[in-house]
Amino acid sequence: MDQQKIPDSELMFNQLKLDFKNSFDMKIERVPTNSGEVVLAYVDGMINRDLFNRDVITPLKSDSFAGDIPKSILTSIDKVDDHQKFIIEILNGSLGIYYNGERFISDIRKWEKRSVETPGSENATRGPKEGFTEDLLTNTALLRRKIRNENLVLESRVLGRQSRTKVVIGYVDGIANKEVLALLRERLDQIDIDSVLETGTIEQLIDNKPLIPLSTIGMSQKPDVIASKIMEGRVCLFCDGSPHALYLPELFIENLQRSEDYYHRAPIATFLRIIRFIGFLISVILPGFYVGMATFNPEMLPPSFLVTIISSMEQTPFPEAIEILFLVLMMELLKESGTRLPKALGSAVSIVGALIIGEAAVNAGIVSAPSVIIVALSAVAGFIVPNLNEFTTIYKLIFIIFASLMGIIGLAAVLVIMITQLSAMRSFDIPIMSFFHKNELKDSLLRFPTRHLRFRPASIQRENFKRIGK
Amino acid sequence: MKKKVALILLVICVSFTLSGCWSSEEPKNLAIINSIIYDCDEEGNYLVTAQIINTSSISSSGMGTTTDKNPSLIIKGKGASVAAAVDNMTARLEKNLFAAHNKVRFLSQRLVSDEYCFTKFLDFIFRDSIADETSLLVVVKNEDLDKIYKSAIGLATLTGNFVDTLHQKKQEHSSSSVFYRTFEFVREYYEDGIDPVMGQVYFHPLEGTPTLNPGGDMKEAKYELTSEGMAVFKDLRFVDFMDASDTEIYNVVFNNAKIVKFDMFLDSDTVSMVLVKPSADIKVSKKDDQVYVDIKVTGKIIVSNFFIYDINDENSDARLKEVEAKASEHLAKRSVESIKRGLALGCDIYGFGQKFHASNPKVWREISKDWENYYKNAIVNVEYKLNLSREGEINRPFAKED
Repeated sequence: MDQQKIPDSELMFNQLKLDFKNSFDMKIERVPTNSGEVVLAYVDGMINRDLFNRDVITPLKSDSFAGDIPKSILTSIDKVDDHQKFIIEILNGSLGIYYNGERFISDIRKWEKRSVETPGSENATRGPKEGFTEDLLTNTALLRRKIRNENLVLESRVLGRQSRTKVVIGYVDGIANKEVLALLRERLDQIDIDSVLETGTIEQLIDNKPLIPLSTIGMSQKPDVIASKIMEGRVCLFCDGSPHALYLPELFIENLQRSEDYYHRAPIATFLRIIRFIGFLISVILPGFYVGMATFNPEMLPPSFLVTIISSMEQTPFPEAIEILFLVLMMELLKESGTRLPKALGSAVSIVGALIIGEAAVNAGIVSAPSVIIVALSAVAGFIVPNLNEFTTIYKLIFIIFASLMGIIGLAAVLVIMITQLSAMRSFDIPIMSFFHKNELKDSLLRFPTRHLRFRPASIQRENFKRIGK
Repeated sequence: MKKKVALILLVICVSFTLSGCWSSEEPKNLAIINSIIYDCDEEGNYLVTAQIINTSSISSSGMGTTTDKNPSLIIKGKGASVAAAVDNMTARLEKNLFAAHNKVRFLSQRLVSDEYCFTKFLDFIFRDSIADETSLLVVVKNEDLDKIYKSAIGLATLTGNFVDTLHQKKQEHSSSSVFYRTFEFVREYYEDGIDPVMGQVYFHPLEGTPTLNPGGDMKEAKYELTSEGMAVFKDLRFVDFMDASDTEIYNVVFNNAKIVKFDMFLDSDTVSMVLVKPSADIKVSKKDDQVYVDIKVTGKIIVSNFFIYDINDENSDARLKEVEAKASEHLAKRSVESIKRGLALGCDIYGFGQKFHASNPKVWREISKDWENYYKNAIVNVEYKLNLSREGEINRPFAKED
């Protein structure tokens, strides 16, 4: 279309009809006024009808309308010269006004959205309960309410050739790691995709090792978490339509930390972190360790436990490793079905799976009771660290397979591989295991009292280290 | 990338070759041995009897054994060597014998008395990669060792568990037995200046009606097991047994005794006392071809029964002081007699040679070969420094005279 030539109202009407391909929700109206025709264009369901009638239609239809759109329209109004931008703004929910060769947009957006609720996956006993929603502006406002500082920068950009999704980068100028910020901008610039519907898509596109089952980019639905992360020098990322905000870089230890750790007193916070770490180890290693011990080194098991294992395996048809693998797969099936089903049905599936199938399988002699206990314990421990769910699931299977083939040496080999892989991983050029700095140890697996946490994480922060005191 | 792939392949290959994945064994194919009896006959054949846990008798709910099944299975093997006897035993079972959780090795007096047989037995135990060196090693004083499995075993379900726990409990409640595991016996054998000892058990017929044995495979036990005393060895040659009293002194000398209970006669009455956690300090010296052994024992004594008619509140403290002195004297005399009895057997079970070696290494090198002649004639002096503890106890006799 020609950018320079300005069509009259009929031409513009036809042009817009053509641009929006006669979509039923795209409303293009010709409003006759005292001073000629005005063309209005908007997406039905995305504007405030009351404002539209009161502040736009009524002034236009009034006898006093003399052709001065900015003065007549009572809402905020901006002039747009570029027709393409005019189209995009209409699609974003603004009201498009065309009169006498001039294009205006008026922000009277309003659409149905979910209210601010507590995120189900990040329940906390203490601390704010509010969570992000699918509305980008609500999310940025929630963040702005936490950090009322002019240095909080929210940079907007659009991703997705077709979806034209708004994405916002958030950081605190003067605290954020500039190298990370530059790298993020560079990787976002490289994204060339037709649609972005969720932060999960962006996460995979900006992660440099998407095949490894451990994300190096953090995710949260809670404004207080994101606020605390960016106050440590991290950068966050919002995506319109997603209640999940990303933050980066994310260190491995952060998977074992929760926002409420900082609201509780230090001893209990430390205890809970250690419990989570033990939960992580149990979840990843226990089934493999059990298989390795039972099949290669039964002498290392306590005699009474070995007797119990043997007595319960007496009638079972499968080898120990197959039994454990079968149970792990069953547990994953149950987890998946429980998550996808509606809440009421989900709990029913859990009960059927855990109690009925488990007990029936043991009674029928298909699997042994200790195997069920081991797998169930591993699954329960895995729920303690939900962020590492993908990682624990994959490595759990690797541990079981290697332990069944090589016993303790197999376990040790996988453990070395796992630690090596973790040590080699970087999140936006920052090693994810770099929490061993003396200042960071105060807030890693241990959590020192708040007054001792004087510095921001040294691995992330490059300048402006001090958090407490001047 | 090529290097990475090569490294991963190398790790996997090395892991496979080093792990011995062929040694994988399904737990349900294991027959767990709880205790073994080793014996030999007049012709030099080894007789091995093992008590195997019957895992199918364990209820799936884990609430103990079911009533209709025996908790154990007794299996025997005979052969010209221990290995042959074990092979013979293995051939009779559909499962693989698993000895890593063996609790006790019962050795017959006949086996340990024959140095050649006993040495061959130890050679087998230490060559076998599966055999557990932490099993308790005890000598059975009787003939017909099978009767061990027909003896009452308290509330335990298996003889091995019973004897193992009994020995451990004995260490806490008395010092009349020694608790030596296989590797500890061998360690003392290899050490210079000390001769090894081994635990001892014996069974005797139960008097009166047979006891109901709730856990064991014999519902009506005809014998009772007692763990007391110790078997004394010179190198790998069995020498003799020592009784419970001598074993108590042995444990005091080795600082292994937690409590020693003893009675003392005083004013024609018996005073019962308990020596608690005695600590012995041994000094061995040599002067003009004569070895002197000085043992100083410090410890706390508790009076458990002290009721003498002429004691009243006024003289009670003074009489208790008198008891303290007499107890030291009593124990010192008893210790000297017991140690001399031990040395007279020709065995330095107290490790005096080891002590002398530590304090005089040069002299030890000169006399170590003739050490037997030295310790046999050693002058032993034992001194007890006891402290009567009366914490939380009444200060006066139970019956107060008006």
